[in-house]
Amino acid sequence: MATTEAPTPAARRPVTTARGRHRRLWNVVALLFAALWAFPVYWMLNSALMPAERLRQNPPLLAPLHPTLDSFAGILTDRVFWTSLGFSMAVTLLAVLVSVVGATLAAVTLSRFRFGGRRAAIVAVLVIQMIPAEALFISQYRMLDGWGLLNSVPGLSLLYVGLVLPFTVWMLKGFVDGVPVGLEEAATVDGCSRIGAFFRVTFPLLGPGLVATGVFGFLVAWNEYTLAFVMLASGDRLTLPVWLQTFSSNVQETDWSGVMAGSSLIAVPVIVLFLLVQNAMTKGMVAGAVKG
Amino acid sequence: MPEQLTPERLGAQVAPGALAPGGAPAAGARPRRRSAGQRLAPYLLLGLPVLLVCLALGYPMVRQLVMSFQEFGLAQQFGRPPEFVGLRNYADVVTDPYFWVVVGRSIAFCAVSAAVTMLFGVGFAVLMQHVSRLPRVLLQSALVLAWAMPPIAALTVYTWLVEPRYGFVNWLLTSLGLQSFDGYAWLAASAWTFFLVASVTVVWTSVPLVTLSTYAALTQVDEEVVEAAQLDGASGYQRLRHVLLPIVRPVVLLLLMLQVIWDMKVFTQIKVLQAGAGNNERTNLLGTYVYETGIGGGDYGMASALATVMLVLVLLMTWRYLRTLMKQGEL
Amino acid sequence: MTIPVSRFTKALALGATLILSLAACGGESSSADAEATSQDVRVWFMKDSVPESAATWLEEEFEAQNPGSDMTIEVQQWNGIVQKLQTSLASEDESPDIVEVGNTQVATFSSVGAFAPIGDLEEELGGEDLIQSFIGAGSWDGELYAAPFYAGARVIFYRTDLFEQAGIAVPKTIEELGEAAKALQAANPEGVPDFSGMYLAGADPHTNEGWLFTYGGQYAEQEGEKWVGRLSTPESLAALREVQDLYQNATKYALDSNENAQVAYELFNQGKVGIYSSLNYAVGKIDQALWDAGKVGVMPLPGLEPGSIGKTFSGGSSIGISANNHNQELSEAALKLMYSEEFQSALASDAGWIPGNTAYTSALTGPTADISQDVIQNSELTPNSPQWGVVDGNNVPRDFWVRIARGEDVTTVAAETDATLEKQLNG
Repeated sequence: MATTEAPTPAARRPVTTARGRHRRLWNVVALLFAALWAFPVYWMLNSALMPAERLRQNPPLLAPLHPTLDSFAGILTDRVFWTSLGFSMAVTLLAVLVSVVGATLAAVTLSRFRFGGRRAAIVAVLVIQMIPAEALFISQYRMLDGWGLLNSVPGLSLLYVGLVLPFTVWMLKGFVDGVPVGLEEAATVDGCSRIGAFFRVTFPLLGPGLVATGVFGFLVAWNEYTLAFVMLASGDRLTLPVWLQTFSSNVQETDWSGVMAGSSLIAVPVIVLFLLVQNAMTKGMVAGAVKG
Repeated sequence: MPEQLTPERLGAQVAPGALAPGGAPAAGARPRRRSAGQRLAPYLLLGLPVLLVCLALGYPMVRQLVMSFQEFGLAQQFGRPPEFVGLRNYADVVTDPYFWVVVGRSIAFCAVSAAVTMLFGVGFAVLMQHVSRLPRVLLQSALVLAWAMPPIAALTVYTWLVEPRYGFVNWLLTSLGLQSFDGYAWLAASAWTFFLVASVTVVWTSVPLVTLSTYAALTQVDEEVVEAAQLDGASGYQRLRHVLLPIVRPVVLLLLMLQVIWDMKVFTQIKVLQAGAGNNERTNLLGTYVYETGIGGGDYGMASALATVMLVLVLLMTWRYLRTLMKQGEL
Repeated sequence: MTIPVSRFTKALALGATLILSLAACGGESSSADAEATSQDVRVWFMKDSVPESAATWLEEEFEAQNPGSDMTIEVQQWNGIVQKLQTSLASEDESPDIVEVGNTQVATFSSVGAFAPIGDLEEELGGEDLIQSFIGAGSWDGELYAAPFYAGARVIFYRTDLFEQAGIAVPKTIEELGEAAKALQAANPEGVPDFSGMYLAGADPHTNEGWLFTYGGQYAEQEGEKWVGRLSTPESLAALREVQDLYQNATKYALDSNENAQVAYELFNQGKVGIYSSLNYAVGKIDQALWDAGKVGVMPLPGLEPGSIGKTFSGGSSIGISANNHNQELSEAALKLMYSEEFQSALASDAGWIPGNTAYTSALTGPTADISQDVIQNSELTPNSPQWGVVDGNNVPRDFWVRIARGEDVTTVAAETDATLEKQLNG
């Protein structure tokens, strides 16, 4: 997936024979682990590409010799899949947008200002992540119910913001810390206001950080299952993970091929996003350059 | 030297705090004279994020706290006024031997999973420094795949992999001559194999973040330092032990703490695997136990008390780290 | 370790206070339009319960009879339904109007006022003809909250040809059934690899309950106000020993997964299993070729005495009106429509269920039609306690049978599960 690569320090070193042997050994080890980590993903695709009846056999088929896209076709023609996709997308994007805006404000404040309660706020950011979510469901449900936000995009998004925001604040603060204050101060000397200096100097440098936090938020919200399961009840408003669970238990005999195709389709947007983001970050990552 | 932007840097950016190992706080932000407006500014800026967190978590948190002092069950959920019972829920929680079994089990699961995750995560990062480009890119891609995979989808795949009759794992083991794995029910047969599978899924998803962050931190280590050490005759292990690791230590510690927090809270993995097979009573961890008591069992008062105790427990476990973090002034 | 009240501690305390005090900004506004009625009726059916044809008929007929009204049918998953109902039924806005619930889960909700009383409708829905054991399950404090919707009869399918080849007579008692299963497995007439005399899995508690109930055992019984575990009684233990013997000598699928237990008919179709217990609707899952060749026999689970019928768990559903429904009158009209001859007959003919109003059982067809009624009459339910839904939702019965299946000591498992049951049922 990586397209641009800088030579690592190791690559530039002269390679003696002993080291070369070592390197070959490490290469093999790395490849083995790469295969191990990719295997479940491979197995998912392998199973998705096989007709369902071929899956229930022993020994299992290690490669789809006669691949079929039937399972994918079955899902792509399923109306519920598309409505769930739309719903998932809406919930995730709204949650990400709100989280990134909120996190930027918080990160900049925590990184650039000294004020009473600052440390408390930072500790709170960490402690919030320790709160066990399972006992909050009931209260969260009643709260959304009271506001008439159950089964709705804003309702679920709000809960996801609670899930995503603390960690993104923490992440983004790292990025803001990475932009030297000196740059801003220089701009202030040149006649910018403090806020103006921030927006002209620091903010553009935060681009990659914003993208990274956005991706993280996307990952969390897109993949979340339990909250969505509790908060959503009506049939045409499901997120994709909830849809997948429904789908896998909806048919009497689990259609493993279909379930695997569904899993693949859910994973695809996230993987695509990672690929896209990599480019965006490559272009915009001035932060590192400045820091060096 | 201007740092090249490499995809590896992505890891650094996505990792919390990985950016600035030993990161200095923005010390310059201490203007001598501050107007009232400037003094208010941080509070105003924090308004929105605080409001959001408050809406999503704060109110439910307060309610949970209140409920933990009440008898609050299904009847109350359907309208009967709740009754305050003082500390009874808490007393019930801590006097229940099963609770302590679950606590012990959770800590063990968390310790093993977090340790293995860190071992693989940091190990891979070091490994990636020592291999050629192609294997590195492949390993990195495999990790990103695992990371991006929705847990629900991953769990489905794992359930299918360890399926007793048609699963890949049993087939592999029996072909290797281990006939006792013919039709072996990984999730149902014993709590040990259940937790093995659960731990593998957790480690599998957690390693990528650790590796990519640590690797990014490692690439930021000044080459000259490494080369100097090399000239001084330090072996590869010594370089790693005395030069590299101390530099990435803050990142690794932070990742370890997050891992501990997340692994103590693990829920989805256990819940989904329990639904497939397995014995709830013997495989409950704190997350599923709270859920089983609350939403599952309709005893919300008790579940709230449990959740509060659990929060205190995680706080205690990470207390020393939080303290050091604050004392070091890294905040 | 001493923890001085350091700056860190103060900061932490302040952080906590900050969250909590600011949290007061959240709030729960009760909806003002709680009394508002709606012209729409929202119905929740469980998956695999109401056949598509019947659902469509119901929607169209309802909308024709009530011009201006809309009926929405939503299908819910069994998995996690108790949890979902706890939140949904309590919601004034989001509650469905009519809900189908498993008959073991009804008490959980009727006891806390989640359903509107429907005693006045009982006569109209079928009166004496309604499945009587379900009436008990749907009542609380003498008032009816949920009506019997349908029941499934648990029957035994067996391969007549394999029995003949192995020279085994059709069993007449439950003990003979076990002996037959073991003999069949030992004989393996067709030399099928991994052949099992019968399909029996810990993950399928309801089949196992057939043995428990037939031997006179139960999970728990009420003594006064208290529930007492009954798995350690001599009757229960006898059943458990028999079942464990079967796990060891009559099946290879003791630890099969939930998923696989649901598709065990595949094994039956493939000839890997000689005896298979399931709800009567499994008739359609068994290969037509096997039926056509006359290789499949059906019988009720036999009882202790020759010729008697064993007690099986009768799975099924009840249906009630949510206390938070949005239009009582329309909801009642919809419920009545579900007890019309057309709908009840369709439940029998299209889905193979014993309809809640047994007057329409005649619509049942197929090989199990003759015995279904008898099986239902001999059926037994799990403890009728509001807490049973919880026990079931937490997989206590499944975990119990899986432990038996794993070969753990019967008396220990029974004693431990009794303790768990008492704790959860009285909790």
